[in-house]
Amino acid sequence: MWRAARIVAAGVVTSLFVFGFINLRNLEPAAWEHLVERLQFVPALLGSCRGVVGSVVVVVVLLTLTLLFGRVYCSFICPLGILQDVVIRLRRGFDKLHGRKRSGATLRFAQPLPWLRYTMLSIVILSFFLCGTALVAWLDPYSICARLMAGMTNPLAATAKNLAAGAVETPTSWGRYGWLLPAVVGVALVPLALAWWRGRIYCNTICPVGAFLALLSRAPLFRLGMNPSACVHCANCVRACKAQCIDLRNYRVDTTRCINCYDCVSACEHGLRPKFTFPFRRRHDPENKVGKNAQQAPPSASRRAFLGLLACSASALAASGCREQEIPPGKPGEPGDNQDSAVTPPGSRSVPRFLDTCTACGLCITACPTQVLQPSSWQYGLSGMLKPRLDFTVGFCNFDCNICGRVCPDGAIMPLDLAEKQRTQIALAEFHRERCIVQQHYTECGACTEHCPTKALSTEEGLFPSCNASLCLACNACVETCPQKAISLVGDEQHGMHAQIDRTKCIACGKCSRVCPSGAMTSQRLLIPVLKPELCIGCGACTYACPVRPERAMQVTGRHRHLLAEVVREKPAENPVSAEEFPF
Amino acid sequence: MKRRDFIKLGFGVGAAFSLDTLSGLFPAASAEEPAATAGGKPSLVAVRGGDRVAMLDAALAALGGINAFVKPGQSVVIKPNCGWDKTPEMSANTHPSLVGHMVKLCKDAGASEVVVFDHTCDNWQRSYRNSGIQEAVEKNGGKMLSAADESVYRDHESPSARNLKKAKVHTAILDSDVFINMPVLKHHSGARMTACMKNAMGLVWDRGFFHSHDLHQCIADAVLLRKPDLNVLDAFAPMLRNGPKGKDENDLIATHSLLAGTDIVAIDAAASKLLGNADGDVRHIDLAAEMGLGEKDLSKVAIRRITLA
Repeated sequence: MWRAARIVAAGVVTSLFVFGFINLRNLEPAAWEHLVERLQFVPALLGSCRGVVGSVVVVVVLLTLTLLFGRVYCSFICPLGILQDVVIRLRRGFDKLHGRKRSGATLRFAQPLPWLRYTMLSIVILSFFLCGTALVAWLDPYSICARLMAGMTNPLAATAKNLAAGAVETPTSWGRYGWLLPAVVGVALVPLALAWWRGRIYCNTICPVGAFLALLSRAPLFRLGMNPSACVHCANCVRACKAQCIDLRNYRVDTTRCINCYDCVSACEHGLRPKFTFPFRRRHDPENKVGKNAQQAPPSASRRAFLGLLACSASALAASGCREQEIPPGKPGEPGDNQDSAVTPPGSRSVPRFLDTCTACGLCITACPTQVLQPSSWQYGLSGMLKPRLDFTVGFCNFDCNICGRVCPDGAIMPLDLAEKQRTQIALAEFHRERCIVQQHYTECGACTEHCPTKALSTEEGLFPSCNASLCLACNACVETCPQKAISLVGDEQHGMHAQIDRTKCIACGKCSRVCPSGAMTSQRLLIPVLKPELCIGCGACTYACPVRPERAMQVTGRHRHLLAEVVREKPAENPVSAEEFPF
Repeated sequence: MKRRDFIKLGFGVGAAFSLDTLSGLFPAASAEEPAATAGGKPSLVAVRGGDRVAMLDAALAALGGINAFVKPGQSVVIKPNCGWDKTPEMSANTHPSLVGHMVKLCKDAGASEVVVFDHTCDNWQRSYRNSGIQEAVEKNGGKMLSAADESVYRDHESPSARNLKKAKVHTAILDSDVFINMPVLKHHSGARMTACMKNAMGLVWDRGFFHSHDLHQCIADAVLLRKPDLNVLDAFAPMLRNGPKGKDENDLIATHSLLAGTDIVAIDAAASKLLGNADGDVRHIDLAAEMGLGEKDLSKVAIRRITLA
């Protein structure tokens, strides 16, 4: 029954988990849809630190469950744990197929290695103190598994859908992880390969969540107990134990390593059952005859060292908050000195805050409808590997969308209501007029302005001059009047001099054509973009749409700390022609 | 006008057709119709004063009914402007009631299949959904096609074009029997106006080519990709500024009009005036006229003006 409950729970969690990483229709995510990601330990812990109420509740629930039952998280909720269970199951099938009757060759009791897991946990906590979630992102079991899903699930689902429909209905976009995909898969393969070799060894040596929960599950209230008088030493439980934590000689189950899969309970017909045990009286427990001789789980030295570190972690969080405060707030209309190359999603508030909190699980990358959220390679530096950034060569941030903040399980991207999101300046656009097609080719374009949702970019008419050399008197009038010094006289005395315009400098003011006495200088009315930076929210639509290559005329650089853009509401437009009759 | 009134009018129009005369049917219509319309069908019908669906019905009636364009068994592709993730009230996309009604008319006329697509600027699924067009199309038996993947486009050459001689065009446009162009009238920050001709940018895969190779010339050239068999322009609440995406409802004006016809240049020339543009302001209209793709001088166009009371 216990095992069946665990399998059912794992099945539900896995289904919801896989489902959460399929996003073929770009629907608005329902509130329940990403519940299972929010139940994960590391995201909930980080979310609690960022003041997300739901996350605090999850942490309290998970800790209570651990104190009551032990590491149920590891078998019931953790997706990587469940995936490892699948691998272990496959290994058992493989062994059977090859005539090895017992997988006991691989799974037997092993001495605990508490120094290893607490060292790992200490390193992770120290790393958090030093560089945020840089290391956590690579070791957190949820994030490892989630990235694997983010990289694989959606493209596979899209391919399946297209095959079923017999046409391309959904673009597959393997490109979200691209060449980073092997790294993502490789990291996930480590625990899975270890699981094939020695069961849940990752969970009890490397995994920081496993180590942390082990501390709390030294003596859960409701734990596995053996009945030595009933035991027949068949060792079925030992072979069933994926955590290799059943010490049959001493009739002991090491609850710090036990991942509560309850496989042993199903394997045992002789009294191995979970039961209520009062923690502080366990040495006098009549059933636990081993008493003092029992091997005490983690040696206290490593535990003490850890507890010291736990205190450090609190200050680490405080410190990460300070890092954000160190950035001076700028003004939305000014470039300021707080620009950064990589752009973080709206709701992440600042680059350091984001890098300190995000575990690169890739859920937002999957959920983003425009695919502007892409896993970074080196753009944030090493600590930001695989964390999402807005890549404006792939897409732009949809104005009427705030999905990334709504799906983020760990508070790295806070949920913003649409009105706030539509004002949040995550980056700032710059217009390089000299590169613009209008300036270069004297043809209208408007690709950037048509995409601008806030109308920080609009077009205004300019007078773009051209000189007809055959009419030019070389009188120098235009040269003298040009405020940009964009006009010079070229040619030689023999063939005649004429004015020449440097298009990279011209601002299309039209003065030259007005002063020209011969009509050689004429000007063309063309629309060219003008930027009001204080209205810009840095969605990147302009740079995405800009057709100029290789360097685009619209450039967008990220805000180190996000700002609030100004909003201007215009008066109602007036009908320029009769509302009663057709103007033609 | 109420729906009931419209139905009455519809019956009236139908009855009139059976009498094989159109004179005196539209009492409010302008009296100064060019002589050209007396004999044949108008190449431009301008309707105002009704709701969108009523105006579409009136326009089609004047153009000889949907049966003049869609024969039983033919496949139809409708290309609305559905490029933005905006709700119908924002007028950034063709109104779903119009697209849905057109799908229904085509189906009723015996079309074997009616497909609808746009190569959107915003995310295609959100644009299809939030514009209301997907629901309207599917409810009336049409099918929304994806235009978000290069694989659904095919190379197409138009030798007589000046700049856009070769483009990847959506296969539905190249393969369907009937092409109905159903844009919405808006201001455009680059092309100054977007109406029927500009709507063709949603037929091709590489829109950037247009922008970098003289936008106006490419828009005119795009008519040659495939000339629409029928154009219907939603000018009910055109966006006067901040187009083509728009900021809020304040950008819209109440024109309550609809233009339809076969001469794509004439419709755009008329539409341009609805936005208050002067002749020559919108260069792609002049270029298209110059290339002989239609008539921009409205005094030479057979226009039927209809005002629904």
